[in-house]
Amino acid sequence: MKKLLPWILATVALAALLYVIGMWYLPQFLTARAVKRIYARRQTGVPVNTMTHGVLRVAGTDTVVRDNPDTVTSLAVYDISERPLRVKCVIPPQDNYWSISFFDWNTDNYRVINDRTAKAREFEVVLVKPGSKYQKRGNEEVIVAPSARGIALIRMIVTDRNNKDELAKLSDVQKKSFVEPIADGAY
Amino acid sequence: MNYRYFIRILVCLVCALALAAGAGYASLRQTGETLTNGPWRTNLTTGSAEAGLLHRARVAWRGLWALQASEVYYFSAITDSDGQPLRHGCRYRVAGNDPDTRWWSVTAYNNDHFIPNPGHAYSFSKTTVQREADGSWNIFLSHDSQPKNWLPSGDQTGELVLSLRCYNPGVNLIANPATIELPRIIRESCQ
Repeated sequence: MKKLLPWILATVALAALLYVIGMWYLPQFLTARAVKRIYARRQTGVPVNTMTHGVLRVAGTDTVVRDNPDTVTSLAVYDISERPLRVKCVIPPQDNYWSISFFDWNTDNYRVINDRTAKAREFEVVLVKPGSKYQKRGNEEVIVAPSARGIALIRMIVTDRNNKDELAKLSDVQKKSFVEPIADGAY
Repeated sequence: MNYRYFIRILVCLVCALALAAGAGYASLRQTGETLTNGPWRTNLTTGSAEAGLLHRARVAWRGLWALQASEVYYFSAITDSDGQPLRHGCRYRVAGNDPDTRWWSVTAYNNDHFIPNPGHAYSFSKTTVQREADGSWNIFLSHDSQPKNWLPSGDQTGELVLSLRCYNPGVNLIANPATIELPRIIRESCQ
C-alpha cells in the first residue's frame, strides 16, 4: 500500500488538473460546436465578421440549449485580431425588448446595449481588441473586447410568435443591422 | 521492471481521466444555482465574468450565451412547488401574476430543447397568456390538451424543465429575488 500511495496521489492530482482544464475549455468548445451547428447547412462554413439573420426556431431547429422561442436573433462570429469591427444596429420602433450583446469566446457576456440604454434607435459600435489604438469618431461607441474572438448577438422579443405581421415587420428591421471590418488605413 | 512502470503510468492516466470526466459530468449535472424562490432557482452571476470556472461551464452546457443579470433574470424549475420532480406524465398548473419585470415568459424544455408539438407551443409570455378577470393567469403544463394556455409536456423521457425569463427586471425583483412572489407550480394530477 505504501508503494502505491505516490501513484494514487499522482492520479488524484492529475485528475484535478484535467478537471480544471476541462471546465476551462468546455465553454469555448461549446461555443465552437454551437456556431458550427448553426451554420451547418452553409456550404461555405462559418461566416466570420458577417451578421446573419435568423428566424424563429421550432423543435428540431433549436440548436442552442434552452433557446428562447420568443426571440428572433441575428448572429455575428467576430475575429478582430486584424481589424476592428463596425457594428451597425437598428432598433425596431415597437416597444419590445431588443438588445445587442457581446460574448467573449469563453461565453462571458461583457457588454449589452438594449433598446432602453441605446442612445438612439440607430447607432454604431466599433469593437476593438485590447491595446488597439483606434480613435473614436462621431457618436460611435468603442467597445474593447477581452479577446479577439467572440460573438455579437442581437435579440428581438416577439410578443406573439404566431403573429405574421409582427414577424414581417421585425424581419424588415432586423436586416438593417450589419457588421463590417473597418477598412485599411481607417484605424 | 520497465514494463511494470509503464503499466502503472497507463493505469494512473486512465484512472485520472475517468475521475476527471466523472467529476466533470457530475458537476455539470448539478444546477449550480445559488438563489432559490419556491421551485425557482437562479444564479445572478450567470453570463458575467464573475461566474467562475464551474458556473461558466454549467451555463455554457445548459444555457449558452445567457445574458447577464442586469438584462435578464433566468429562473429554472425542475420541481413543482412541493419539491417533487417535474414529470411528463403529470398535469401542472403554473399559477401567478405578472412578475416585476418588463416582459416575462415561461418555457418548457425536455433535456434543454423545445418539446415537439403540432402547434409549436413552447412558451407563454406576458403578451400571449390568456388572463383571468383579475389579471392573474394559469398555464397548464401537461401531455393532454387543455382549453387554454396549454404548454405541452410531451410524452418523452428526459428531464422536464420550466424556465422563467424576466427581461429588464424591475426594482422589486432586483431587490428581493428570493422572496418576491413568483408563479407557483402546482401538480394537479398524474397518470
